[in-house]
Amino acid sequence: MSRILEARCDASGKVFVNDHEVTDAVLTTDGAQASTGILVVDGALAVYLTSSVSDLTTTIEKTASALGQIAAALTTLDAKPVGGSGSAPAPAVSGQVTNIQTAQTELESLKGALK
Amino acid sequence: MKIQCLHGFYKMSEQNVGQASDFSRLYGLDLVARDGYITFDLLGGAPDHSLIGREFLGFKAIKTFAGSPWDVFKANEVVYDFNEGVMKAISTVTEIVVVVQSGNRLVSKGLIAAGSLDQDGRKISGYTAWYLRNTASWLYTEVTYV
Repeated sequence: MSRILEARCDASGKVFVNDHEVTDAVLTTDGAQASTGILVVDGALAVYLTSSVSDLTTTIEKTASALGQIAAALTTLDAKPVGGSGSAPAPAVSGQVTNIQTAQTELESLKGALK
Repeated sequence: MKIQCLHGFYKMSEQNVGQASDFSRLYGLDLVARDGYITFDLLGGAPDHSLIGREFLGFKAIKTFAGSPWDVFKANEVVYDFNEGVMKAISTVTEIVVVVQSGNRLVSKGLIAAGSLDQDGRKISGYTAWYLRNTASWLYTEVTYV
């Protein structure tokens, strides 16, 4: 018979149930940040589980943002190729920029459809 | 009256109407119904889990555990002492009882407290016992040890 209890974990990896520290709980995550989750107790096994959706959402947001910055920078470069006398103009990268922007759009769509 | 002692948790059932009240009067202990059986008053609230360091039934748990109340007792090495009405670490029970074979049954004076030692020094963790109203005696059909 197992029990599922509401729990939280602080930034030092300590698990609490109703503010009581459960010193023998096992973490399935790094526990490097405070979180809320559940403590599953089955026999002598006590496992703390937290949702990692917020971590994943943040990762996707930052990745999409970085792609946006890269695409913008390349677009700017493409518009103003450097080419003085004796040097060739930079190659056009509009195709790659489109690909990056597509990836950015896909990531943003994924963020809104996390299970 | 049938009594099962499981790691210091007690489950009782009447074989005839009125046995529970007889038992309650004899020992001066209140009984309550729980999940289809009868048990001591305190054990009516025995939890199905424990959290290390948190008290249950007045005893501080030494392990986080989930299961039947008697499994929680076993995990935390605790028994209910019906003589004193409190929970005790099984290691602190030092009572010695004599259990003798009688035909295909075991006989002992009175109801055995879980954690007691038998005459061979074995610590008793459980048993199945029958209270005989007519003779006010106890027969044991099974005794288990730690």
